Amino acid sequence: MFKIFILIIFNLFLIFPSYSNSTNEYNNQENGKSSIRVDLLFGAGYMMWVCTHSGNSCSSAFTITNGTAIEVEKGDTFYVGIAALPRICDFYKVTNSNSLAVISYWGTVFKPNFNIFGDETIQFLNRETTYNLIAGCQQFQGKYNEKY
Amino acid sequence: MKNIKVKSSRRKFIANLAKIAALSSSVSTIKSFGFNSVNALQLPNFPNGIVPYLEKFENWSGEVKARALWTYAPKNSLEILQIVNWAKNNNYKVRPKGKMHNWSPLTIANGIDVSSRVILIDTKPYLNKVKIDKSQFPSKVTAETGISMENLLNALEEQDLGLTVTPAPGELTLGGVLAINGHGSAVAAANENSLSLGHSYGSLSNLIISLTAIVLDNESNKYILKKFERSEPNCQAFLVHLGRAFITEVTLQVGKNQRMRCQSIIGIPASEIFGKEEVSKFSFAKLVEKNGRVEAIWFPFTDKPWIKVWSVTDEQKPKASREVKSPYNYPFSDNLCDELAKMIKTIISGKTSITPQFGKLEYFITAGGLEYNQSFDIWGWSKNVLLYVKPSTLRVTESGYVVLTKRSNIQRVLNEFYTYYNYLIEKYRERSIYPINGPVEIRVTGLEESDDIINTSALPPLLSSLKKNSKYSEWDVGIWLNILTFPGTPYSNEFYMNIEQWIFANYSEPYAAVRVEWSKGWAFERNSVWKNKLFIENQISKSFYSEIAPVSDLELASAIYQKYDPYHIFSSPLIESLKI
Ligand SMILES: Cc1cc2nc3c(=O)[nH]c(=O)nc-3n(C[C@H](O)[C@H](O)[C@H](O)COP(=O)(O)OP(=O)(O)OC[C@H]3O[C@@H](n4cnc5c(N)ncnc54)[C@H](O)[C@@H]3O)c2cc1C
Repeated sequence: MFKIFILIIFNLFLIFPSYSNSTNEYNNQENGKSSIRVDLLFGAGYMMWVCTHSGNSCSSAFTITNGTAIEVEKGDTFYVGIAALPRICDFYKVTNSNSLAVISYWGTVFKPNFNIFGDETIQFLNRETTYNLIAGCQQFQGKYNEKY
Repeated sequence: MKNIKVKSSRRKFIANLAKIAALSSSVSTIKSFGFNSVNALQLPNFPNGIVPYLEKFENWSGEVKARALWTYAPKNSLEILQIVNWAKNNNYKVRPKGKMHNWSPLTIANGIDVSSRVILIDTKPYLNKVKIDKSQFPSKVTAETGISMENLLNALEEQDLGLTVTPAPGELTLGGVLAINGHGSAVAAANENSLSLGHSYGSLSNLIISLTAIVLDNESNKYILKKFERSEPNCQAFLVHLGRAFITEVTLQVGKNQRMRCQSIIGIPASEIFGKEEVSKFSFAKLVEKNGRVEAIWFPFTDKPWIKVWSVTDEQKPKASREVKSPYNYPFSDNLCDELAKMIKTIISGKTSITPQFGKLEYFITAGGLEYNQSFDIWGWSKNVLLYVKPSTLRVTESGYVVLTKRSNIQRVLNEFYTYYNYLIEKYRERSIYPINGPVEIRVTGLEESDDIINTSALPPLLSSLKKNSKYSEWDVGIWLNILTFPGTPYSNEFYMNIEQWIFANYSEPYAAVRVEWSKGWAFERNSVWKNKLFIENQISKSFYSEIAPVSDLELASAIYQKYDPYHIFSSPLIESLKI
């Protein structure tokens, strides 16, 4: 009985979010910028996309790993896309400069939840879902650039 | 009297763990021998109508015990006076006793018995009245010292008042907390203006406006009650006194109650949180800079600490937060079910090499618990987010120090500590030794700024670990370093001794200085704690000495105690070893 309990616990270690080291894939260290860090759920693929200058200049979608930190400016919008079915696209807007925020995803890949530390720095706009994996999260990009 | 020696024998360790498991599953009930007038007869000429009883003493960690000691719960201060004056005439010590949560044996030495001529005064049952005065700014609360912190905070909350600094458990008595400069974790956040509301960022002792102590009246040669105002020079020694005094009542300055939010972050690696300044924007110092109130709990052999960040908010609940209407919102860290306690015992008593997995288990329980209890982001009145530890939490022992320095040095201090701690843990691991199985806990507070006490020319608490060093007026923070482990873990005292030596050598002037955290473990030797005479004589004395002051704070305090308690009625062997 006890052995089974131990086994369950160690299995839980394996499936529980294993947060890997942070990487700065989109790193733009300038004054006035805010740093946003994303801590991810284990087992899901994630991507991100950032638009600046009221949507006039957007990055292409890029894959992120756990602990990715990006540098953004007040007014920028970005999404965190989770490769599940349906695909999940969480849109955020940057509302503060010279600050920091951490978005921590938790729950399951199919029903991901998140907390924002620093919600005076970023504002969660909306969650979109889509089965259209080709158009992906980008299909909503215009909507958020126009609206916010 | 027995020394406190935690032997590193495996057998004893296993026995201790069995106790820990038992203790963890239920709050230990202290066996009372009950009121017994026959017992009282054994104390010659004891004051009429006061009937002491024999009761077991056991501190929270189970490391300081006495099978049966004379104890009495006085109904008022006059009864205490009667007992103290009897003690003077009969060569007894009087020891105020709160919730017995202190790790260091300030109250009594371990293992004493009824022949030791000690009488314990239990302040909790009756000495708990509280009165609030809001007629002037800043508001004041006058409380008897047996009141629990939680009851005090409840009374304040009813009047829209609260504290910025308070220890995490609510069960501690006010008298116990003030004795050792009890603290929380808070410095001002960017753009924060809580000082103007009557708050302060040092220890709770810095909030004292006046206090009533039991002191010798030279004329009558009797102990009497004496009220000290904070501006009186002699008051300085009674604000923090380690139990070398008996305080019956205090008046504290209190501020407007605040709405607070506490957010947990569990995904930032320790290498960033405690990394060099330039390594990450998500460092401990950056979080302090932004929010002012941060705590890190870093379980052994895990790479991501549990970070709590508190922020003061306006009346509006942040959309994402869960409102909490009572304290203790991390039940996963307070309630260890029997099954789990048994498992912990089995894993560790079996082989300490499983400590790395145990650390991961602790992290796992935290992460899962935060999610299950929806405690990642909580919000409410200050008390409901500042009190978060129940006595049923896993019983551990810990070492405690505070590094005094400039706020701009926070990250440097932590990075140096992190680097050395990792190095030392690795050195032991190479020998397959795992002395530390609990977390490292980090908090940051302000220092004792007497100016925070409004309308009084207040003097600082002489013996507070957070007292400012007059030579370095630019030092403005205290960084608390705590390392936790199960009592009796093999090699833990040796590990603590090594890291203590390093801490005192590393944090030196003009960059920083270190003081011990009175309530916890210090003065380690290879097989004991609180026994290292050289450490007490050199390091502790030195830490209360400033080149520009004529005498050290310890000497000054000692002279004041000598004046008001020349019979050393309020003392214990550990206090005597400090020469106060
Ligand atoms: C799980 C746990 C968590 C803790 N967390 C914190 C924390 O977050 N912050 C912090 O600062 N500390 C913390 N502590 C330490 C705690 O604040 C101290 O040990 C405190 O002294 C305990 O209060 P008590 O009522 O249990 O006092 P006791 O342990 O009963 O007494 C402590 C000392 O105070 C003296 N004393 C008690 N009442 C009086 C009085 N009326 N007059 C004079 N002397 C008196 C006693 O004689 C003794 O010397 C923690 C302890 C534990 C066990």
